[in-house]
Amino acid sequence: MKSLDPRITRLSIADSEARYRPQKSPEQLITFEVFLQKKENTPFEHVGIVHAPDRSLALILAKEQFSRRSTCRGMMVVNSSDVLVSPYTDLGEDVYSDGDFELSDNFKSTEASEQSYSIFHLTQRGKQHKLAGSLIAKSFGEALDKAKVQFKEDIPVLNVWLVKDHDTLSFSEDDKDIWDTLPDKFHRDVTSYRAKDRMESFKANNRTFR
Amino acid sequence: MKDLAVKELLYKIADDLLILGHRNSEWTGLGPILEEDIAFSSMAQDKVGQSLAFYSLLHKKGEADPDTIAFMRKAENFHNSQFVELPIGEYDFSLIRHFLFDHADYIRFSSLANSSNQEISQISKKLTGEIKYHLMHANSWITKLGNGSDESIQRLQNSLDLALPYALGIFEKSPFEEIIIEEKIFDGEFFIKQYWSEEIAKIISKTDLGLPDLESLNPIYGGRTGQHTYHLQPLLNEMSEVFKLDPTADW
Repeated sequence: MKSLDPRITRLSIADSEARYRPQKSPEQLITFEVFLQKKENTPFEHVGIVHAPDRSLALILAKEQFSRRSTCRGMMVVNSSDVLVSPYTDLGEDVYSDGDFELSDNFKSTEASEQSYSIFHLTQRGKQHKLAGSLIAKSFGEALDKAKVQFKEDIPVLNVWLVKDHDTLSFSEDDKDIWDTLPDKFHRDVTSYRAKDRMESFKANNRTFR
Repeated sequence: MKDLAVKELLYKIADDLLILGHRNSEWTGLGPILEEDIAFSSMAQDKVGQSLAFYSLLHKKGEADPDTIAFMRKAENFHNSQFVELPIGEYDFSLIRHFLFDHADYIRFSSLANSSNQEISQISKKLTGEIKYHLMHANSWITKLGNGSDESIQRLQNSLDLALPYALGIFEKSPFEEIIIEEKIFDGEFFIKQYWSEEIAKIISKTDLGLPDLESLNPIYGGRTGQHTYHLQPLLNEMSEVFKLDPTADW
């Protein structure tokens, strides 16, 4: 099979083999939610997910997946199934004033030990969840109750995520030098490519292309 | 003499980075999973960018401009180790090469961060964060797959056995080795190799992979003096194809 891409030609795939074959069963790795801190002393914000075999690799893969377009000085991942998600409200209602909602079984804890929880708020549909803060509680239920008071916002909170900090993984402070060269990578920014001037001068010098 | 020694050091570092960066970029679009494809491509781009930093320094010292150095030299004028010019093979080989090479480069950059040559130490300090991440990535995959299935362990072991003699070629000594060390420009290849063997052994010991006695292997030298495998010239032809269409073009 010959391709315009020399790497494909090099694989010497027989023409009879070169056809699309749908996968028998879709095999996917589990997903992890990724949160990014753009600058020092700004809140972590959700940016998307990665598929990964485990949490350490999720953090490693997230680093390149999500820091190629924005500045970054911190990143955190958590298994999607470890995130408690509140119901979404309609018509800009505040989820905290809607009253308690039923927690699914894996978020109803039986232990009574104190843990640190982080709370993320969505204040605008179409935007991302932002870290509101962390607090100590003995269960997800108690953390939610405390958050309602401690992290009250002036505007309605449309959706709330909670995680146990113990379930999250971040890059350590010792490793913050991995972000050092990000500001230098102008080639990643589309605005660095000033094609217009060159096109104008090309047209000026080549009458046939006017 | 010192000037020649510094240039020779810069060429071999930059050539390794350019050639390996190019090789790793051959995985773009063909990686095993999307996120890994992106990460590996991004790191390949980092390596090419790092080579540019060293070629720019060479240009300041009177060598040709970076584009000319990168795209117009023949294979016999390249100083990369033979290790980095080998074809990408399957993903296990590329991961093993990534693991072995990046450990060496992390130690190399950390050493050069203390160089008596200001410009070299500045560049090296700046790039340490990048190579640190590359190493985290390599260690994670080798640890994961080295503790994985029979297939992943077997594949990594085969690639490791194939790669090691070539990897030792990274530490081929320069004709200016003594001057470089005396002038405290660089700690030298022997120093790098010592730390490198300890570091790779640490990671390998946490897997089901076996590391042979490195002293029992025959290092494959030659790259540093322009003796390359038949793989390098086709790589250079492909890499420089677009540039050579019009070397004077404005990009």
